[in-house]
Amino acid sequence: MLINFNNVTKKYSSKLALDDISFEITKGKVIGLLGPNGSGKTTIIKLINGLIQPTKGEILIQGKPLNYMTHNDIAYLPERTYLNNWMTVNQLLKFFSDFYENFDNDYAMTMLTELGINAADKLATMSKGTKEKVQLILVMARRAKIYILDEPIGGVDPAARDYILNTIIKSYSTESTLIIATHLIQEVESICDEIMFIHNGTITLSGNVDDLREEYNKSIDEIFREVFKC
Amino acid sequence: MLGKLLKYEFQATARTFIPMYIMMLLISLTYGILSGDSFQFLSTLNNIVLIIFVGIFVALMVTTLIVLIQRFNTNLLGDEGYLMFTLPISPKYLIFSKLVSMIVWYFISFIVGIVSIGLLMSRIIPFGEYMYSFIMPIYYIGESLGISLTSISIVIKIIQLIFNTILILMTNILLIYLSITIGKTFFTKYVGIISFVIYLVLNNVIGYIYGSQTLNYVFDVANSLSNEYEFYNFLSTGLNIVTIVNVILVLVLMEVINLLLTKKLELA
Repeated sequence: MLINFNNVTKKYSSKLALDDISFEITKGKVIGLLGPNGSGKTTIIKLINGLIQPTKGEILIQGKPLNYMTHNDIAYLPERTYLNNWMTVNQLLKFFSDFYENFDNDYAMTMLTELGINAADKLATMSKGTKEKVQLILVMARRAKIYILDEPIGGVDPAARDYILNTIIKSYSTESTLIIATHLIQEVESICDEIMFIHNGTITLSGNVDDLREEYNKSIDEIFREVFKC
Repeated sequence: MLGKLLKYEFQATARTFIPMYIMMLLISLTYGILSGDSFQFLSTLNNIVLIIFVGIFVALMVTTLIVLIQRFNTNLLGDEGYLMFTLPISPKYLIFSKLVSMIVWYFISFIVGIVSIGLLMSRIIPFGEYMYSFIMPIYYIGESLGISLTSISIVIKIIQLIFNTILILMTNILLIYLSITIGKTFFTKYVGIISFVIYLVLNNVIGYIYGSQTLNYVFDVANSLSNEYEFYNFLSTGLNIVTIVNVILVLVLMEVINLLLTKKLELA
């Protein structure tokens, strides 16, 4: 088992963000963490990365409690710009090579060239979309066991989305697991093996994508619209 | 890993400090040269020079403090924390690399400050003579105690004194780090003000250790001493105690911050 959430509750002051949720994530899967804004997707992801702590419950990564060494196995793309703006892409590649032993520098360079990004450019001079591409490349160029992408296609133009999704699928090996959190369900539906619908801090629906489609006789996007109807 | 972290920490901070040092040295050099050509206006010039002196030091201190706070607050507890806390590195190293880099910058700032003043006054006091005057007092103190500077024991004491200065500086920096960490970990509103109040409280608690009672005791004992050798021995013992207290303080503060950043981290 790669990730275990055992009765995890998370409160921010008095606001309940996750309400006693439990789930397991095995290897070799692409999992869609789906839900509207503020449903608790990012909270789950931040908990897996140890950036926030659970109020109650237990989180295990590969059967062990989280510690800083766990980060070697997790390649995480946050939903925000988290890299040093003053650095050039080359400096960032060096940074990632320095700290992550599983970083594949050649692969990153290939992807940068394919997307027409100049590695000598400073991050500060790039558009939001290009920055997001750089971040995604840096994360996907790691040979990690778990990839966690929080809204990876939210800021990029629809034309680049397909390329990015292809890159994501191409980069990850069947030995690893990929978790994609997004509210753009249509875009990721085709690449997910399993989905988890998060709503108001609880898992309202989860399962194999094909099984769910068969059971509801609808696409995941349609099921989502039905479940989260306003 | 610590070496790599230090490399990046220096890279990030040098962008602020190096241009500032260059600017300061250039200003000092320019005024130093100008002052020589207009000796008759010395009194007016002295005032200007004094203002520049103060300005330079205030600028140095303020910038250093801002960088100190900002590097911890933004790089660890802001958005960049998403990168720093997902590196396979113990938070202890993250704190330590920031601490060491700041100590080095404080030291360089001190040297640059002294050199700047020297350059500023270069036509009034020759630069070489001025720099020499910083070394002389140590020599005279040694001589007045009847101990040559070459004596091993006094050299050790001087090193210990410098070590203690670094420890006190470390304690102060760690107090700022701890205040920010507590503020950001346990509060969501008015974090800046709360962190500042926490710093004042912690500073008072630490200050109590070196407070008036301790000082009174030190003065009482010092007054009862009959000769310079006894006084030297008393100073030496005092310095040893202070060193131990300072080392403990630094270690405790490091561990508390590390624990908070490991067990209680809450990145917004």
